[in-house]
Amino acid sequence: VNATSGIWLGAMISHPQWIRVRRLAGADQDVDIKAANLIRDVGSDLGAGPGSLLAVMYSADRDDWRLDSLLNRAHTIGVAAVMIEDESPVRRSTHALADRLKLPVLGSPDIVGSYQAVQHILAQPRVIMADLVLRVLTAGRQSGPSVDAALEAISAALGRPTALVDVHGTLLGGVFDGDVEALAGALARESTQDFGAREVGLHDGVLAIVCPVHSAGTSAWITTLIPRELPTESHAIGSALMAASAALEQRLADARLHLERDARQRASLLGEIVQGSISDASRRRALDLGWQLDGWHTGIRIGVAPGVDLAGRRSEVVRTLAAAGLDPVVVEHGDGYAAWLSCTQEPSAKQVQDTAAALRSAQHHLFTTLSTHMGVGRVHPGPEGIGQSLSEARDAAQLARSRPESGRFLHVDRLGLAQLLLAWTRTDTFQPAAHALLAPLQRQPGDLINTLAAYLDSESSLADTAAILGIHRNTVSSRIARIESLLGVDLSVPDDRLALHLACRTSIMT
Amino acid sequence: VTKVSVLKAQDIDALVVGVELLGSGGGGDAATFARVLRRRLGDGRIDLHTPADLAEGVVVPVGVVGSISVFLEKLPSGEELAGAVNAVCRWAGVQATAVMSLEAGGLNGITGLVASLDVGLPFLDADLMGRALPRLDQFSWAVEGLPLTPCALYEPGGQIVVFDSVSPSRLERAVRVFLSQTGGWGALALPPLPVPTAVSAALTGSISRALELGRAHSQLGETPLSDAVERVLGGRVLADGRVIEVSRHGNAGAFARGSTTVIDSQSRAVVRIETENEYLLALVDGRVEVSTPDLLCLLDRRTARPLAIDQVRTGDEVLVVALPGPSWWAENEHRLAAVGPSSFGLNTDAMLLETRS
Repeated sequence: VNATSGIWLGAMISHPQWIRVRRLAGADQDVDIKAANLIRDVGSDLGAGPGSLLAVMYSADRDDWRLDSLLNRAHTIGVAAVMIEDESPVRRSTHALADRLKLPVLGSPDIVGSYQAVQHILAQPRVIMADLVLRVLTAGRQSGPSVDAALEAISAALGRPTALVDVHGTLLGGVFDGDVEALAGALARESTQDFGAREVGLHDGVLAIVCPVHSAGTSAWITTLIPRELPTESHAIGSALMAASAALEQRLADARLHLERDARQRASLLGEIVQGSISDASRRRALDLGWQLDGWHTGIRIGVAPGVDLAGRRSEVVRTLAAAGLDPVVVEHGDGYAAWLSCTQEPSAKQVQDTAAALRSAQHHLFTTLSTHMGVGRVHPGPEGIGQSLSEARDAAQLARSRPESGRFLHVDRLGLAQLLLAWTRTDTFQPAAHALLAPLQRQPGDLINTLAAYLDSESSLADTAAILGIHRNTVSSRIARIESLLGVDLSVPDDRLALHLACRTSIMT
Repeated sequence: VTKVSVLKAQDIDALVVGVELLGSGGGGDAATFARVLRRRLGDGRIDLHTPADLAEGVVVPVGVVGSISVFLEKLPSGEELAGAVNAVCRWAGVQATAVMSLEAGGLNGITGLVASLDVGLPFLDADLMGRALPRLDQFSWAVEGLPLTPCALYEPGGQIVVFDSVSPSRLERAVRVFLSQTGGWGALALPPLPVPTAVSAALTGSISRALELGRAHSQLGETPLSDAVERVLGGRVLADGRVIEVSRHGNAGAFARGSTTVIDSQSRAVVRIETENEYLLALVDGRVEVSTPDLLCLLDRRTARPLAIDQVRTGDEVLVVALPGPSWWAENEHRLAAVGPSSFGLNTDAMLLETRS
């Protein structure tokens, strides 16, 4: 920091130490303050030079004509701004004069304090930096164990709102009252691999000082917003943020440790429940965790892409489900999450439907961030019901994964069961078999496969089949005879009929 | 043969404007008292005598002191001016042969003439201020070391007080205290002095100047241009624009302090005038431009009538005009100190039109 470079008045006005300084009159334009002078009263010799801030100790009397005279004298020698005592408004004449001279007139309840703040910033940038770093270090040590408590203490020490945001600019904690999109855009150009704080310009001179924070393989940014650049301050805040990021990393590591431990506990308890061997101690642990073992349960399986940090992202899953109005137990399990909803009464069909709709919408949101697929089991009662429903949900999830057309969501209700079966017929082993079975009918005159499908669908009724296909009953009869002879089957045998029915469905649907 | 100026009824309108201009925003309501003069004068005339005309005579300065606003509410009985002159002559044991004005600005530019008719003595065209000033210790006699006592104060209730062997500043206080406890105003007659002595420390030709100023002003007509005003009245227009602020704040001394601010409609210059009983100081863009004893007048933009301090309102369109004050006051530092800005507690040197140009 170059000590001789000036401070923009606009930046100084928004500085925490000038919090009670007001613009009373004069142009809104910004001026560069290069020095500060303190004089006794409005009648004193100025002793100031061009570009200086003239602070007038005894100047509370707004009626005193010498205030106008002072403005004239200050303007003549190129003073940048005049600061007078207290915040009460100036007379209209003084206002008009300050506007005319384009000379900002500021009011401060503490002239000497405000003057000294400018002096410090102008003359002692290193002292300010050391002071700020020390205060942030102390705040980091003394604040509570949570990230939010640490952020709050750091904000207070810096005198500026400070936030933790992820690499996409999403707020993770603290306060960020600037333009989120501008921040996200600016962060996208920065690498978290580079150690140390940096300044990123957002818009209209607003500046964010950012410093990477690393935790468990992921990165975030600690961010402090400065409405106007004040080089001394932004440099000092940059250094202070490095100290702050260390304090945050320590808290994030602690939080991670808790998270992992809880996840392990939940997973082991779920293991016992699924196996159906629930000891009294486990019942007790379930109670402690707020898990309802009795009543009716709907199992939900949420599968995620490999490599997702299950423990770390669990809260996001819980949040998304809560946003959909659902409050299930969520446990990290295998390559995803096992979750279930419990209720004391058997839910009605309508309730089941509503729950499924809510889960479908949750899946829709989760897919965008976690590439999830979701399966939902049927409602089962009792502690063992949890395992049953989860097992259905797991099968459903596996199918849902390969079915983007259903939003990678599958609910095992009655319709779902049929889909489950049909889906099974579409496996790699059955499909070639189905095609092979019907191969003799291909390339034969008279649409034999569709005729066979319609015949089986209409419970082997020649009349119904004829009506469906819009052909004569005798034509149907002769086609069926040809089919039986071509395939060498007897359609009155239930096993043959079932195999051919499934084969027809598969063949027609593919 | 000395040329004697004459005042007749048809001159009264011009005289009123003239004494208002010399009043510099203060000095009281001359227009109201001018009716008394008009009635007393009738078809007659008043000669405005020079000191040479009355070189052998003894002259008494006479006029009204005290609260101007009360003067309008508690009307004179008609006895006051003559009563004061008679009282001081009786006390001094000297017979006056002429009267003169206490001050030429404002109301007292008229009262001396009325007194001349009331007591039936010739009028000496001279006064002790040459304009309006608020305090008795600012009479030129006091400034030049002539005594202001014995003097007689006749208040409208008929009480007469004679002060003797009192210094000017004490006299000022004594008169104020007495008036505040009685009718609020009174007629004051200063000691009868031989004309040569009297005029050795007085401003001569004051009423003639008022008359000239008033006659010149009558040529202006409606909505005069700034340069016409400067040419005709012989001064400088500081602003031609709108009053943006009229404020009265606190008491600097005995009188209420205030300020009036005008923005020039062309240059946008901010012209602030500090006031007490009179307009005292004009700042243009914060720079002291004109001060007492020069005259500062606010003229109504349309009629060009001088506006007294208490007549000016925010939003009025006005001309701010500076006219040269009586040169007598600028003749030496001693006199200037008695009536300059610092004598009103305004901490700046006197800034006069002549000295600056």
